Amino acid sequence: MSIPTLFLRSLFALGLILLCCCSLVTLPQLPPGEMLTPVTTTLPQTPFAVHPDGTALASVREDGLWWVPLDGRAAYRLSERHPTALSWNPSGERLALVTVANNSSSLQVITLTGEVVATEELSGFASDLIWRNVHEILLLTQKLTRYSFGGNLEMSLQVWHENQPLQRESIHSVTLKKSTLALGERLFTVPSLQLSPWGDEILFERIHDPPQFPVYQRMVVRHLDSGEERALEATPLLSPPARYSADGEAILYADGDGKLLSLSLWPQGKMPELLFEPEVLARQLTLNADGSRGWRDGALWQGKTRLWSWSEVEAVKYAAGSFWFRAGKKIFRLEGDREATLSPLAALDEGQRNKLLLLRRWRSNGLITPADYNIRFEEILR
Amino acid sequence: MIRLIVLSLLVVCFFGTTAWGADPCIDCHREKTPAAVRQWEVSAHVGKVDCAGCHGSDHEALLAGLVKVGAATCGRCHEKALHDHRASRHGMSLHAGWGCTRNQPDRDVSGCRFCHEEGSTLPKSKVQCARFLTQSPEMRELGCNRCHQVEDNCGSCHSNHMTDLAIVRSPQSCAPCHMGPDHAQWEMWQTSQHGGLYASMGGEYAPDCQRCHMPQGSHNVSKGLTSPPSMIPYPVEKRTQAREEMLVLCAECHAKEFARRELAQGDGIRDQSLELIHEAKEIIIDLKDRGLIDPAPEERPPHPLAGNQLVLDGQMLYEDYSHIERLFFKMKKYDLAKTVKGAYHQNPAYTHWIGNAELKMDLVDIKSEAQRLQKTQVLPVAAPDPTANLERELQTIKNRFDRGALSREEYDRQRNALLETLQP
Repeated sequence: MSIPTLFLRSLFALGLILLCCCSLVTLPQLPPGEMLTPVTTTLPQTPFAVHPDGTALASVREDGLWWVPLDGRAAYRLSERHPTALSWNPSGERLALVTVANNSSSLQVITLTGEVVATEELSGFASDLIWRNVHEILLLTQKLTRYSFGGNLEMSLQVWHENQPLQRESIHSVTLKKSTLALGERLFTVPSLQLSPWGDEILFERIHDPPQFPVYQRMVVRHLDSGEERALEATPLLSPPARYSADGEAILYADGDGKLLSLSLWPQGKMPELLFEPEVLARQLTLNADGSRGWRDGALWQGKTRLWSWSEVEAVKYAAGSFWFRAGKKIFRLEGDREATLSPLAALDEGQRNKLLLLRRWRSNGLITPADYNIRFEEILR
Repeated sequence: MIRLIVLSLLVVCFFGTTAWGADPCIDCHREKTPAAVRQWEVSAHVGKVDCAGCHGSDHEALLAGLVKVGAATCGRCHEKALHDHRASRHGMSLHAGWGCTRNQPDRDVSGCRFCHEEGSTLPKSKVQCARFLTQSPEMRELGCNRCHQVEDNCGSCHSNHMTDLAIVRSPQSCAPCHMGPDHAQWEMWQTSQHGGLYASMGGEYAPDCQRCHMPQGSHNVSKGLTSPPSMIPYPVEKRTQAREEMLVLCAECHAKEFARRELAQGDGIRDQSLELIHEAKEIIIDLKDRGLIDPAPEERPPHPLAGNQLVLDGQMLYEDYSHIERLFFKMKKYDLAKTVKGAYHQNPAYTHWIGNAELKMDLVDIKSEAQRLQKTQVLPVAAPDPTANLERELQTIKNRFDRGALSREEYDRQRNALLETLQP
């Protein structure tokens, strides 16, 4: 081997070592037993959806939406669209995507091979969507009408059901001041849509803009079958979305004043419980299946213990027993939390679940009291 | 001498013209509204009150329909009459029979003046009438306002430009409004012994409307009445005083004790009739508790004041409701009034056959309809769902508790008993 060749090879090896060192500096220090794996590339600021069995995901690239298997199979393009929201149905056979253009949205439902099952034009801007079950999609849409004095924002709940016409119900209408309209499209990100772990209730936010007071948002719980709604706590506008607790009996939310709170949904009127007072405002909040771990403000927490942090994370999901992160142009999977992947509701058999769903509906209607529910809940589980 | 005669004639001509012909309205309006001018020319107002005295002199505003000759205009001179009128039910007519049309799709802005002073957004009364609000503008004007405008329109009884008291002393002046299925006072009186004698012998031998309800020219038509239109009696003190006031009038012809007994019989019939209404109402409320009203309030166009609530009170509509409510409306609005007012007006046919018999037959119809609705509650045998029945029962007792028909303890007991039937 000649000296120049040896020199060049040494330079290459040194470059590799430096690159590894840089990577080590960039990647965070993981807790023992945890493993962070980059799984695919994506476009920044785009959504991704993890397949329910955790073996693949859908992510957005330059030329459209891609199916990306994680087991070595070849990736392929599902759609030319660049969706703003994505979600797999619970069986993983259908993928729903929303695209937005000119203040209106379009919903498309496709199969694993990219075949289009349905396309619906939605009235208004749809910021989020969820599958209630294998056949039904829930969407919150907003429509803004501008006037000289401000604007009117109408929020609708739209329900797509396979082979049925799209249903639309107006669930909130608010007059916005001119100063509030200056927030532009950020307003449309306010109403996040959360489905209760029971699948019978949704949690979302409404904007309120009284003439003499600052604009704010209020969390609302709505039972999907009865239509009964309960307005919960108010938080500052653009506060992070609240989350259901793992058992669906409470919600976790940031109050905009540096506190993370837990609000029991039943009985009503109970004071929220202070869970945690982070150093910074809770802008991100994602929980694992049993609620024992959560990603808050760039850090992974187990209760009040900070396990690990990574400031570059822009989006987080919990699916198929893992946390999934989007950081820059990559999507990562964090594995190792195996012992806490099951929802507490997973232990219920079908008969128990159906009875409790019935009791939950009666409780939302006011037909039974929270105390009645608790007594029957204990009896059914006994 | 000749100079003096000429001067006198000139003076007479000058002042004569100022009194009549000089009124700037007359020449035109003799052509445009000849009846109004003719009536005014033979009225007591001539020479004392000219056109501008009541109508003002802003002709543009008059043409635009912005000038109202209301009761207050007449009250500037007829102070006592206005005072009595405002203390009576006539003086509350708009309060009872109107409502704000601001949010109605077919809003007619010319109607605003009936409830609002010029330039004011504040209504004189916040009381609204659901039946008024469900009408078309034409029906509101002709079918509602023509009677209820009496609150602020003396012309309703007196006519607009005539002042002859013979007009308002005739019972015929009451008839346009006080007749028909819901308050047939004119027919009751006309076909009673009082009315018959009045027709055959004249007013000296029998009373007319004015003799009992507007004695000595009083404009307080509510004097002596012991209950409002709902027929539910006033509190004891108020109704005792009212009864004494009426007996003073009766005693002008009858022994006071005879009149007291007659009116007490009317009280008895009123109370018995209200019992029937109460029974019917309870049946319908029970059906509502059980979710059996068909169509249910939430399945039909919303009530203009109560939305999707069941309304059986004075704001009850006569459209967009169920058959059993239609039966109840007839019973309460028509047949109760005929029975009770028939009794107080001494008309046996109205009291019994036109009123009481219909009331009782209405109740039969309502019970029968309730049975039919209850039969519809039975679930199909092919798909029995025990929890559906349980849910319906829970809803029924909740409805009863919400309206105060069940105490908290009883509601808890019944609810727990129902929940015990839910197998764990």
